[in-house]
Amino acid sequence: MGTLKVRDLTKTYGSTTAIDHLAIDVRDGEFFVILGPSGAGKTTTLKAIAGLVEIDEGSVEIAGVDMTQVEPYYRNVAMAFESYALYPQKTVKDNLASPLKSGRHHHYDEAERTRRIADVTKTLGIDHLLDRLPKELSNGQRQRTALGRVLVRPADIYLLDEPLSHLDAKLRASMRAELKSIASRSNTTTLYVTHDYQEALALADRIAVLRQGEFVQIGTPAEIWRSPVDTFVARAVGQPEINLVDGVVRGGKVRALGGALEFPAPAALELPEGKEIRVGMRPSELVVHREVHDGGWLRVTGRIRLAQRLGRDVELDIEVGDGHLIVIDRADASHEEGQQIELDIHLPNVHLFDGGAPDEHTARLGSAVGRGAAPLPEELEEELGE
Amino acid sequence: MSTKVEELHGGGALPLRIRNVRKVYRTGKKGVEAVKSMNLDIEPGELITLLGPSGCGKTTTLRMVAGLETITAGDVFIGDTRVNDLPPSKRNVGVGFESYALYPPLNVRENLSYGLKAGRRVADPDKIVDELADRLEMRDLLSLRPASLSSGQKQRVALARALIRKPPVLLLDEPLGHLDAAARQHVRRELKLLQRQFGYTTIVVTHDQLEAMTLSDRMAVMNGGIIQQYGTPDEIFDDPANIFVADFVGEPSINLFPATVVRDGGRTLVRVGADVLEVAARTATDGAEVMVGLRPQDCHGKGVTKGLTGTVFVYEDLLEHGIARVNHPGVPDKPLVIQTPAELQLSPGASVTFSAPPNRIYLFDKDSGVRIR
Repeated sequence: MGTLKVRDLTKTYGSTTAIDHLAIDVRDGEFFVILGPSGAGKTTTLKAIAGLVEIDEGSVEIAGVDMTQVEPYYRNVAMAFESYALYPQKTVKDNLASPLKSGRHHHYDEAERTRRIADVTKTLGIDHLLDRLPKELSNGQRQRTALGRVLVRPADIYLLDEPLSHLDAKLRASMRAELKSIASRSNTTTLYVTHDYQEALALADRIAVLRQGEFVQIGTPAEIWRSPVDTFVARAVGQPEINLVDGVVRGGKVRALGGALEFPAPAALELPEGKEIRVGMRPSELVVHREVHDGGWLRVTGRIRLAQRLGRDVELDIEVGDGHLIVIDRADASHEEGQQIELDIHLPNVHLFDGGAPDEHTARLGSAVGRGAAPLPEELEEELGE
Repeated sequence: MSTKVEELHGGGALPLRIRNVRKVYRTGKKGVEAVKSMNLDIEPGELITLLGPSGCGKTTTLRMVAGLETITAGDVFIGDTRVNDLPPSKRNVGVGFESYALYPPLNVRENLSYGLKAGRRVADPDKIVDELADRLEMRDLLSLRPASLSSGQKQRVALARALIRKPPVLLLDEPLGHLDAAARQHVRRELKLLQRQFGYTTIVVTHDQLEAMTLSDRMAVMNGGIIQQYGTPDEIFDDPANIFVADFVGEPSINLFPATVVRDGGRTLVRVGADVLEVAARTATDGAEVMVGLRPQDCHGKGVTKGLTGTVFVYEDLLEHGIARVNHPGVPDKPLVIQTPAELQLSPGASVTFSAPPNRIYLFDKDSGVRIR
């Protein structure tokens, strides 16, 4: 029942196209995340689906019913905005009751309201706080109450616009887990918008990557990670972001970093001599000197330019040839700045993209061993025998 | 005095010492002590950060060193010169503050070369501006006026302006706060490389623990106007002095939960519900109620049969690793957070047993929060 089908959704503001012929199919019970930088059109997309902005073109079908011409009020969606407020003078219970007393839901009787509030507050873990006022709650409890105001309403689809973005990092991580837990237990259909790739990976059944009003790629978190369609998507997931270095095909080999990085051009990609390409390597998938060499590995040497501690891990900035690579390693090994090190690169994890200007987003061609997707980190760990 | 002041303009990096410095703000009859008897030694060419929540006194400290704030008591030395009574302009410190203070009628290049030329002759200012602009990836901003810059771009310009004079002492207040995630990482690395190259003695103020961890040679973690711990990022992360430091540094944050100490011959254990963990602390007394600190990143489950056993409540697969929240009967009010390797996939309801190396399990006094070693 809670399905969403969007076709050709387009919204322009004057001469600016905010969203451009978007197509989305969200399945019943799915948690679907739109990931994109600010200004990409994320909020406009949600508002267009909710009916809060007039669209120029396209159709919106919710739970099998064409809602394109239907007032927001009757679309049966519940939307939470970035900053949502609570009534300071009302208890948690009354805050949650108010959406059930107004508008479309005013017909709920006391018993039905109490039942819905009990369900939602139990799921959110705030059922012991029903008689408290907002000022008597912690930030996290307040956030959960605000979320409860959205979830207490029956709806076919829940539209959530960066609900965690105003929380500090610690609270954000725990609320993200709460949301994940709620979503997996309640089987609601959710369309969730964020600029935070970790939220997208953690929560999503599928992710749609949005850039300047267009979907660049739609896929599961694993698909987005292992087979990004272009450099934009590759850079959108993972921190520190993927290393991208320019290379060229010479004598059947891909050469980059002034020749320090060189491997046979994969035959399946049929790369012509002289073709400019871009080589992508994720910092967490580059390995500092291990005794693993079963083929499929390439060793390069470099010099540590910077070692910066990131919690349990350390981020190394390593000079290799005429460029440098960012690498993540465990902090328990010793890393001295200026030290020579050997870097082991697993070729299936090396992405190849078309060449292009520095700011240009270029398409993925395949990996250093062929057309396929790269292995996931878990497969790399198994390969390393960790 | 005058010879000493000349030292500040000699060009080389200088040590910086803060001795028993206090700052009291008077409002009517009441005084608020923003900084309480602070001592800090910074080596020439060292980069330190002052890290803490808002109101901890970190910015006040920086402003006292810069000369933008009077010093209630104590001394600040740059090199051998006591600078308490010198005006900001005589201290020869490079300052990059959050309020960007760029000259609106000048474009970015002019703003930068103005800072460069102030007070001295420079042979080829454009070349120096170009080089720095390349390093900070802001070449395309040089012809723009401040009004047309985004907040992140303004911040980059303000940082460049502080760096360009190569001052012996550089003071930066939240230098990366307005940058987006990708730019922040790049500028963070370049800032550190430039600092290494030119050897400015640098104080960075930040509330962002990751920024402090990555930038610092040493970092001072502050709370309530007091330095809680001063040490290298390794020392701060691996050997926290108290609960505040352990909790403020690290993401996901450290698990803190109560437990009972059990002395067993030469070993120290803590009992958590029905489970026990071996810890490295040697001075804990048998039967003491303590707080245990256990970092999510230090938990491991491979081959562990004796440790904490709980039930997974949520598991998040972040591909590079997972994060599991685990309910443990001995820790009733909140789940324990553990970071799991990528190859381990967990489901809600699964039972897991995990532990950590004894020297990575920290004990704190339940009341004072001080580390028990």
